[in-house]
Amino acid sequence: MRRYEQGSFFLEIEPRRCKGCGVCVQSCPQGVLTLNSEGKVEATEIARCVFCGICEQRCPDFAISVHKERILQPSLV
Amino acid sequence: MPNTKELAHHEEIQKRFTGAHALCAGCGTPVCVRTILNAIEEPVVVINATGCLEVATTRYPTTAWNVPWIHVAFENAAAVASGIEAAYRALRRRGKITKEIRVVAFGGDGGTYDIGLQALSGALERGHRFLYVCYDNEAYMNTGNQRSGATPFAAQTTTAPTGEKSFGKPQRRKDLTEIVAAHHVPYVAQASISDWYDLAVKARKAVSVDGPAFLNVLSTCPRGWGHPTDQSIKIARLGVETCYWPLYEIIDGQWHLNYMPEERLPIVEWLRPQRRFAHLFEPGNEALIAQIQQQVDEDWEKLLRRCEGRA
Amino acid sequence: MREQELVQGNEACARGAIYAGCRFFAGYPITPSSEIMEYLARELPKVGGICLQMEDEIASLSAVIGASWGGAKAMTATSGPGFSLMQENIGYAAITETPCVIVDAQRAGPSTGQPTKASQGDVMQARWGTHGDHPIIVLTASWVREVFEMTVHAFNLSERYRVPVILLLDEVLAHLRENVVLPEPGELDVISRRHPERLENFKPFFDETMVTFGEGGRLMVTGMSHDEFGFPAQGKKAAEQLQRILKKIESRAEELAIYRAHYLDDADAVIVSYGITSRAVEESVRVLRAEGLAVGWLDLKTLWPFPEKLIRSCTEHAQYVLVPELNAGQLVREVERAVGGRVLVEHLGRLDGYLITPEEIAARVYDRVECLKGA
Repeated sequence: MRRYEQGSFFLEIEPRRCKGCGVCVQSCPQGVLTLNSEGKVEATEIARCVFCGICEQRCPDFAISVHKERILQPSLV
Repeated sequence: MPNTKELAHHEEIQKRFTGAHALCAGCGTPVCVRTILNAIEEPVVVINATGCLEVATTRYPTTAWNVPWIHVAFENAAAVASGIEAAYRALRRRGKITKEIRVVAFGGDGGTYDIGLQALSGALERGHRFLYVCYDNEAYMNTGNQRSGATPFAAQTTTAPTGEKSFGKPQRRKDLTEIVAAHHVPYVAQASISDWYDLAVKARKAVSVDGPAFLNVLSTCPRGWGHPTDQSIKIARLGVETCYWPLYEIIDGQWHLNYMPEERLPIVEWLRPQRRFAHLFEPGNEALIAQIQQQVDEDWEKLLRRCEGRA
Repeated sequence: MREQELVQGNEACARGAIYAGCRFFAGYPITPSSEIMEYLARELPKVGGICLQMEDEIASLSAVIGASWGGAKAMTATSGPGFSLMQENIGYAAITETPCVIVDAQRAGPSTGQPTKASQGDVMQARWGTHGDHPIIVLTASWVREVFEMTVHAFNLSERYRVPVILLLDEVLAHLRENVVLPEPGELDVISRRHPERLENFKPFFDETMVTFGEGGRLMVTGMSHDEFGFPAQGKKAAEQLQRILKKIESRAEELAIYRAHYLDDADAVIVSYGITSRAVEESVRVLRAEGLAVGWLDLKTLWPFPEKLIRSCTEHAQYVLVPELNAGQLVREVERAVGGRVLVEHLGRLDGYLITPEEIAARVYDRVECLKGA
């Protein structure tokens, strides 16, 4: 599970679920996502992300998710 | 009524169709199904015709469906939907069910354009309140790419092969959206997996009408069409931008154009990335491309006239 | 001498059809028979034939019947669910005495079942699937070369007797690739339908001669009970016609029976098998014979009309008959009926889509024979 944070939002990608179809890459209005050399999705331009959630909505394999609040690590609470 | 954004955060609705399926990378079908199911607020019952969607989402011993789901046979998704809707209506009338539910049938182009057309036509004519979604990948992809009534002119399939005596499918695609519209149903629309908001809005409109509704959704198939698996959305987008697959809806007989490309792309843009059209780019086949362009132009002009510029 | 080549069962069927003179195919894609149509879509136009993909299986067999009356040797291929859809037209082809070949690559059913798994569950449906009493010939095959030969034979019988012929394959055989030497042109007989000598006063439904549309004879083809001119008939006339077409096939049961008999002379135990299961039986018989058991094997190629007399004569001196088949017990009932209770008849079935193994068959026969000896 990879996590990309920005402010109180974060994007989670589960590479094991990703088939590399690029549906999220081509649907992202901000050009945040790319496919890496292994054919898995990465959020290379997370700074541009507006956390609209289209990638999560469209992913056929539930590999990507957008979260509005950062989940605090138990040790930090 | 919650808006599309609010529905997107509804966990139960989001998990109506889950990731436990074996549909290919780049398949347009799960994108189509998710977008539609995620846009419907009420509880849904799903009917599935035989096809990739049915086979790959219900692999032994798993299922990708978190909703009541039924598969009967190849030819009768619309007939099964009729039965479900009629029974629901009867139970509702007697007060045994109080909830408002939506009946949604999914069929591929084979199960809709060809073998299932009779059942679909009957259900539309009887006026059951259900939504029929045809995910149209333009051939029988589940059995290995045989031609269907939806396969476009000159496309190569295993039963419309290319060679000395044949240039692929010699016939034109039948226009199912128009056939359905001819049943005078309250809502008919054509959509594409590339335009998700358009598709989601159409799904919402479709389930809100009191009567049959039909969505014809262009759905990519990297295996059958022969394009890279990570280009599906772009390819589907090209179908829309070249006006091969215009986005429009017919509400109570009124035609509305949903998307007018700023600049129409030539049809070769749609043909070139797909291997099923590769033979058209061999020397000597220029006339075929010109013929396809002409067909698309004619259809587009006809559509514009019907919509009278309404967008 | 032709070279050995690697051929798939479906391809062998398609090539056999072309060999037999089939020039019209109409079908609908269905696993596991789609490759037949795919091959014919490529190859039929090259020999001047036509391959049509129809909108469903009902239309497929309808088109085949039309083509047959148009004068072509015609075929369709399907599997379980499609075969169910074809049943109405099979009855039509039977009563109108239309020559046509229907290939059914059986898959595990009922309904959608297991599309990629083998079965022999359509044996009874092939005989009794359509309503009413009707004549039918059902053939089967076990090896890829045999698929080719039986396809040719199916056309020959169909044309010769004006009867629909069903060829039962199964998923494994349809998709199996084997090294084979396929028959050369002229090696197998190819029979075509007989035409009457004169068209005047010709009776289209009187015997096995046939006139097709466009030849000049007066034709009325209907699924209604009809007399020898094709006019609708009732009562005695209708019964006579039905009797005639039934007798045409049933009376020839013995001459239509194709089979292979192995070690039947001294057999205490007889295995009756057909289709894909025969391949396992071959091995189990070899093993059991090596063990010193007097086991015989009857490998049936013609399932219907059922070769009753053959079964009776082959099991005359046996004490035990085993019928292994990939279903819950279909042909075994016919064998039991033919044997008439003289011998213990057992069924060895399998429904999980996998094949019966030689070990299963050998173990069962071994156990029973030992048991019978003890008694």
